[in-house]
Amino acid sequence: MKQLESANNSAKKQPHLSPRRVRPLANNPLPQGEEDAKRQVRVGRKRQVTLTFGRLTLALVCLVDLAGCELTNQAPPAVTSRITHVGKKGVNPSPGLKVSLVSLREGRVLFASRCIECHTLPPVWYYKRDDWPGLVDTMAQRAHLKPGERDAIVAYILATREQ
Amino acid sequence: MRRFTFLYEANTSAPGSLELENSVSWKSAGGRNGFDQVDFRHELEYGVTDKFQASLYFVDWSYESDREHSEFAYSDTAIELIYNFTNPVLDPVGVSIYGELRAGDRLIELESKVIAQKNFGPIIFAYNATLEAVWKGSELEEREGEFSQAVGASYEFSPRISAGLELLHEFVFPEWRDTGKIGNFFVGPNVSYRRRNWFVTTTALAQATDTDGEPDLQLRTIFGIGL
Repeated sequence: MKQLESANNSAKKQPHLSPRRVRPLANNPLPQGEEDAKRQVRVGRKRQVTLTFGRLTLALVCLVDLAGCELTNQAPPAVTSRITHVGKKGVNPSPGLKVSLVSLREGRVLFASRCIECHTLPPVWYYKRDDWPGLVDTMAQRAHLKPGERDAIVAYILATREQ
Repeated sequence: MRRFTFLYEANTSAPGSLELENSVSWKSAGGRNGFDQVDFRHELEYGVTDKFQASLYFVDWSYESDREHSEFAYSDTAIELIYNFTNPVLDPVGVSIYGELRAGDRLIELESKVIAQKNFGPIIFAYNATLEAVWKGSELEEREGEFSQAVGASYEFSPRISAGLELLHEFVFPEWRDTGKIGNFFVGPNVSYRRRNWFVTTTALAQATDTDGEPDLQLRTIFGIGL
């Protein structure tokens, strides 16, 4: 109790200090009489709040579980020599772009680091092949992408999409 | 961009990017030590490299009101540094470390965090472990330690909107003593909206414990704009 009084006195001497900083001790005894009743009401209300948020948590867990059905293959596909082959021989992912293992790997890292600043990553198949370059362009400035970085991301997306 | 307000995410800002973030936190408590407090923070956040960002909180101030007084007060100015080690999408877990120094005329605070994050498609999970050391008072004679853990989940309904839940569990050690330790638990929903170069995120946390002198309700909103 002495520590509690000391803390309260200290706060009174320095009125600018936050009341939050006046912390009672954990073993603070219960107030008597009317305050007891008030406190019981508060405890009851908090139990209700806890119960409500418990239900919310459960709902979120269910949501996550349901969403899990569409979460297959969440990470962007890794760059393999096969992807490079598709880029060079199969269909050129973006005419005029250099396609190499190094640039595709750089594109994957940039895709997974710059784009998540604003939104989660859609699967590469989510948008049409011809839509991707324009989509990346609309967000390139916001993501502070240099032209070479933009090209690397587009090349990576189109190459993996064709796989 | 922030999807949580009481948690940090592991990814750092793009190099060369500059963002202004304004944070407003309202705390309200009833009972004998009841009070209302509104804290304001104004932050400039700069992406230094791909994995490192630095921030300047040029002014932290607050409005406080209780039975005895009410006033506006300047609190401190702060710097914050975040270094990212692993990516939350490509690696098993995205991990960053965070350091903050707050200094005012009656306050010095050191805060360090470990930030973990994992993205599963449209769902983001984040975890923060925070250790704080505080010196306050006219001669910095009061000391306090705090260890807190926060967990959050956010579901992205569309590239513009996401919503989720945040849980905050904190232990306060007045005078760095375990004997007077106080444990608090807060839980509540969050919602975030973003468009072009700005975003706004709000979280409402209710105290699930019954600690007198701690806020029953906390409402925090962060508004950010890319410069």
